[in-house]
Amino acid sequence: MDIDETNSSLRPMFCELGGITRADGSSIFSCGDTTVACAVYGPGEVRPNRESINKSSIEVAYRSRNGNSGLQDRKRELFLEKTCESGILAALHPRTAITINIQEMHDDGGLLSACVNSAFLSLLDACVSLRFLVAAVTCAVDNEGNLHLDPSKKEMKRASATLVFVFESRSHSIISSHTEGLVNQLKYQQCCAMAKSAAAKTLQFYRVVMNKKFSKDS
Amino acid sequence: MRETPISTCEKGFLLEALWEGKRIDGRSTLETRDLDIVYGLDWGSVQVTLGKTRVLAQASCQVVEPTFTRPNEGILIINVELTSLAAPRFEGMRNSDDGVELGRLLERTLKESRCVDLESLCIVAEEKVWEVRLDIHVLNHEGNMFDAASIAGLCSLCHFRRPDVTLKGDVVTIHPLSDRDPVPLGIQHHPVTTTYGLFEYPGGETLFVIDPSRIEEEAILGKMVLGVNGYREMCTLHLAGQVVVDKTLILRLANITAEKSKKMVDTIKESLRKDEASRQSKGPRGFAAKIRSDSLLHASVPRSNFDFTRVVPLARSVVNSVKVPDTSKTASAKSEDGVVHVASEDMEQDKDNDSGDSDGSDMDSEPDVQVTGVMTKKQILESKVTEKIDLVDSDSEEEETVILDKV
Repeated sequence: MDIDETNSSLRPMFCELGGITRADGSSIFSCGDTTVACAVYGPGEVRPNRESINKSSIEVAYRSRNGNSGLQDRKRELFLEKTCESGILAALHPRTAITINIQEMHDDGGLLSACVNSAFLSLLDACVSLRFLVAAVTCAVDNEGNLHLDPSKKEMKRASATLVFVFESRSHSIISSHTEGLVNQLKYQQCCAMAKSAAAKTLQFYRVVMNKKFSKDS
Repeated sequence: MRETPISTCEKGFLLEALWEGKRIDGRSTLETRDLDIVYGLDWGSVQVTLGKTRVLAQASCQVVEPTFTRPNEGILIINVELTSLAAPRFEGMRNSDDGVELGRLLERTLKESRCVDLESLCIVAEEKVWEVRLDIHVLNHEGNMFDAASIAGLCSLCHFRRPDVTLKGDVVTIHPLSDRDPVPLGIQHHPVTTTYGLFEYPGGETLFVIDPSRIEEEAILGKMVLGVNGYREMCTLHLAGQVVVDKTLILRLANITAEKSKKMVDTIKESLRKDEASRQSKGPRGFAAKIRSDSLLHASVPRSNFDFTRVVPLARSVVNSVKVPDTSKTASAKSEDGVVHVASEDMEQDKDNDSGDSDGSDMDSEPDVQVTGVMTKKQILESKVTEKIDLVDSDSEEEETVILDKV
């Protein structure tokens, strides 16, 4: 039940905003070696079957690097859609659509949390009105019961459970969580506490990114 | 999502500048944009940037049964996905014109030119062969997707390594990557495409520009794509649009393309060598590391360490303080007909005036509904019965009657 020294760190994060020039907002975000490219279009034209009279329709399209898109991709899309819907002030733009496109560039663990972070950074770059910012963190519990914060792909494969927590910036409460595998209440709370500290650091990183965007150096 | 089309004055300005020999972005008619090739950490993963157009290519393989017509050859599949990541008008519809054109062009350049030695991908004839799958994702479409995609596809195939296979009699062993080093594909020649945008002078003569940018692509009348490999052999010739082209133009462009392709293939080979060198020296590799060192626009934070010594006691206190939901308030009432209704104390067996439903619903929140009477479920069901048929003493002609108990 101890937390290993080397596993209580968040890998270096890097983000480039505006790399995808066609989009209204885009980010290429990487956490360690996990790299995700995300482009946001919107609010813009919506297909009639998805049109909603009181809010904007949030559409997420996720593409993995190889193979045809399958069930895993649809699961990720649904998770991202629900998370983004809670954070975007969709009621400001009725009868429009905000499209979020995500492309996996490299997966070295923590892909789902990288997708969430990348999506919100792109939304910031696109200047879409948001209710709050979110930061997503992944934790893994291995067979001996050790907890790993921000696991690599190897650690995730060996883990008996992986947990993704998404925290929002105003009151640091959880807005989404995704767990694979079995974990007891105590472990869950431990992971949650670890993830909360890491999420605070991630939100500070968003600040750094936005400062860079508006600074006169670049 | 629809895109704003190019305006007439923009188009006019672009054409007039071209007639004077000037391009909007300041290039000459035979100048291509900057090319950047970045390899990922996995074999066969590459991102190519041509100006601002970005294309990601990934190669992968699996063992399958060969096709009936070619039992001794491996299979190469090229899959192009144009999503709205690249441009708003690509809405995830696989059969968009641009996607089909790009897919067909890549197939002709990389597959039909037989640049990959498919016979070397055979493991056991008629039973097992390697199927190599090349996935091309266009990340950003700022003009000339074709060239960027063909370079990315070629780099990916050259970079890719498949697992090593040994054959001992009848037993096929596919060695995992930890066991034996993977083996590169057999690339026989390196075809690269070059795209020319075709315009017309006022007099009717054709004007060409190499590597059209997005705004130029929206104003072109026609497009010619020539694929030439490193040995000056032509692999692809594709013409689209509404421009009249004569053979002297094609020959001229073919010669220019041959020169450009030779240089491009040398660039590709150089980039592969550099990647191999950085693998050997364990230098920074992969998209994240490369872009981090090269890009001016990025922001980064180093690894953050946390002190989690207080986490375990904190978690324990959270778990202990959470109230276990109180199950003592539920009352189960056993009614006469043997059906158990489990309802909490708060719920009342009210009769809903309209539906006759006897589910316990709390009517306190709806003051405009008056409770006229209280009936149990059995009473309500009895009141619905219109005619009672006695089965036991009836003059039924059946020999044997079985009465099912009310479930």
